[in-house]
Amino acid sequence: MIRILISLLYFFVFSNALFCQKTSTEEFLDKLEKDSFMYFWELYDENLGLIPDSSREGSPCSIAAVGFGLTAFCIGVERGWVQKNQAYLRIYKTLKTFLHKLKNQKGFFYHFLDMKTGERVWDCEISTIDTALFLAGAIVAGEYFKGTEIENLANEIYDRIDWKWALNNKNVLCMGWKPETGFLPYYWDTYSELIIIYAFAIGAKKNAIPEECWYAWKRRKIKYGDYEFVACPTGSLFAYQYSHAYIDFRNIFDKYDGTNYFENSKIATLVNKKFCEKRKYKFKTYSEGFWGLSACLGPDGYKGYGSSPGAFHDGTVAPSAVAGSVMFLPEICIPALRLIYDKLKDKIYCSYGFVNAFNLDYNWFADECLGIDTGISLLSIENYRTGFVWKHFMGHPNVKKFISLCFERKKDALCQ
Amino acid sequence: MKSLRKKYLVDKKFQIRYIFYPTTALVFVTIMICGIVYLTTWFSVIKEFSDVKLHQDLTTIVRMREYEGVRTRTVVETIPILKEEAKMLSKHQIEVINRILISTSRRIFVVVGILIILVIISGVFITHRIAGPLFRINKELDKLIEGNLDVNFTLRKKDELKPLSSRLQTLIDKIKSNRQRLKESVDELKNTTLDEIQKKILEKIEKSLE
Repeated sequence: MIRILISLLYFFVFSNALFCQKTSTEEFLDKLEKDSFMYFWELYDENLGLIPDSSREGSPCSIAAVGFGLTAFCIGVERGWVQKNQAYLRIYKTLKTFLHKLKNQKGFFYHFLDMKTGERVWDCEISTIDTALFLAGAIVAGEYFKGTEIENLANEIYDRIDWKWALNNKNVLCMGWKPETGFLPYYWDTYSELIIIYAFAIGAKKNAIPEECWYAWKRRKIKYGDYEFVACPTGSLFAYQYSHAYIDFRNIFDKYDGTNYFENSKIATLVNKKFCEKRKYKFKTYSEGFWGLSACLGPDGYKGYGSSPGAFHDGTVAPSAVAGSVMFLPEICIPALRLIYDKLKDKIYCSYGFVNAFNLDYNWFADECLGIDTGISLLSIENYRTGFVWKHFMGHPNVKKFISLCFERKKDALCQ
Repeated sequence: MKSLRKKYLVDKKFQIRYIFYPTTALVFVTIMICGIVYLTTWFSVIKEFSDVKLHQDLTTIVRMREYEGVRTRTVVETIPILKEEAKMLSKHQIEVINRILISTSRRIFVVVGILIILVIISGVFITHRIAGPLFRINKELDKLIEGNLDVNFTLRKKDELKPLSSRLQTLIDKIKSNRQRLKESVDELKNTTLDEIQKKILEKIEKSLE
């Protein structure tokens, strides 16, 4: 009898603890998602519908941040944080601005814009990847508000882009162009965040680039311990996340070499974690159990931090690097985020979620959030919880075309 | 006959009054415009060149170069963003702009000064065209009051009030001719007897009764 009572007591205590843990994880993710959403909702400028690059005062608009913002607004509606018509009007204004008011070159936009006038700032470049990241948000919004003017505007912006022009007579896409100097001498020719731009360029209804371009960029595989994966040269985690937040790579395999980029990003995340763990005796930040190396702010400015193969690091970690991988490895990334939150929330958590980065070795904590990093955190967590972004993005016919041309599905694939 | 009026301030009080009004209005409007332009420009300058704004701009420029460096994997030399230097730069920029604004304002005031002199001179000429005729008409009317019908209201070609003066002249000419006729009648009556006068009056009455 006593044994039965003790067993019941144990069962009650453990099940209650499990329930509480689950509830608190859900609450934590809810809070993190909503706070991240508020970055876009509160910093959205009513005048032209632009969103700043950073929460820092005086920051210009980053068109990539606008793309994340458009996606965030749809998530906000779906989660009941804002009304559908409010989000609709905001997205509509932004798309109208991009279609009719902003200067463009062959449909591509300038990377940074003045928040009030929409003019190019500081001689920045026409950016192909940032145009693609903006377009990704527009496409998600178009699919979410299907059958409305938003869908038409998003498709008009897409169809206006001359992807062939961005090849600059080569077989890989150029990073950008300036009116003063022409094409930049840099190309999207090595695995990185580039997939999203090739997806749009190959899948486009108008001015699409040849399918062969997909096979033109380098996939460099490296080994790290037992892991082997297609690596981004800097080893920065964001490169394994931005395209993946929109394209659902689960169960699709690159026709080039059979790589599954979802699994590849899982490995890259594990490598990033291991890389930090291995150096915990040298760096205070890592010794506390923190990890997450990605391009972010640091004690000496914005740097391309990363694990192997770039391996440039100084103990600065970005919470967004961990949050951005929640969609691949929630069982590792969510506890890592909780650890950061529980230990350092007073210093690194603000009304827009986690600040950009911190470094315990230098006792340095960023005092601002960056739109793209806050955005990837939100999208990744939402994808893990509901697959919302993947579902809507993958519904677009051009994306479907790209997937059918460059990927294959395998029956025995078991990606989750 | 061409009248040669060499004195331009023929009616000082009248002319000065009518030069004073537009000149005062011009000075007032100029001061208002200068003040508004100066103050609004100054506040914009203060805002745009404040150390906070300069620090923000420097941060943005450095950040953009760093972004580019990370993306292109190239080494980008950036200077640290120093708040003290931003403050000094801001102070220097504001001083420079202040100097530009002050010298611009001085130039504006010189131009306005010249403009005021031009307004006064042209005011003298313009009012002279009205004051001159009025003065002339008054002078001739004074002669008339004294019983002198030898007056001349004719004005110069470009003078104002010409219709008035020509009517006055016509009126005086008529008065003069009537006076002449009356004088002739009186002279005629002087050389006539009373019977003849009576006879003439009766003839005129009979004529009028027929």
